[in-house]
Amino acid sequence: MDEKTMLVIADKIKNKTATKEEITAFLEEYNKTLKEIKEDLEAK
Amino acid sequence: MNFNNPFSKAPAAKVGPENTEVNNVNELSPDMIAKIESSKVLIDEVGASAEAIANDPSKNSEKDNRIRLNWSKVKNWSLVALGAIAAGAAFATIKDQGALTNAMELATHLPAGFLALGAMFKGIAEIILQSDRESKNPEVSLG
Repeated sequence: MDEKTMLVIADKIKNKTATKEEITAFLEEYNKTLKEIKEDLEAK
Repeated sequence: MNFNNPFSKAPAAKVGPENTEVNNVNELSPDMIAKIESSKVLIDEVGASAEAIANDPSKNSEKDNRIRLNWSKVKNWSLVALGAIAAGAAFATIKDQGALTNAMELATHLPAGFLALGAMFKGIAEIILQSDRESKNPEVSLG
């Protein structure tokens, strides 16, 4: 999911208009990015 | 976590495939809750280290810069979701702790359906606040 879409969904979450599918996709990308950070930290 | 909200009213029935907005906590599926819990664990695991690297100009390897970029994304997504009040604090060197305090306050007052998300985003705000305290008082450690 691209950065712009993530920000659009984040805004929808703020405004309580996000759909289940959008929140699920948002959380998947959110966790994917956090896992990438974790992998980079552990690779040091 | 208690998701019951005694003050909520049953939503008016809507018809149609477009009616997928999540308006109350009962609509957060177990899978979504599990993902949020994973997010909270990951934030706890990596947040402090990522924030420290992001704030250290001497850390500029390829991995450091990737961490910096990804952490910036996570913070921005979190703070946008929390509301405009905190968005301005996401990128800048944080001089206004009040903005983040307000963001944390907001996270605790989100509608029932978003309490779990609020807790996740609150984790981000707490890490940023802690980092800011350390930058002003080097004797405070991230532990």
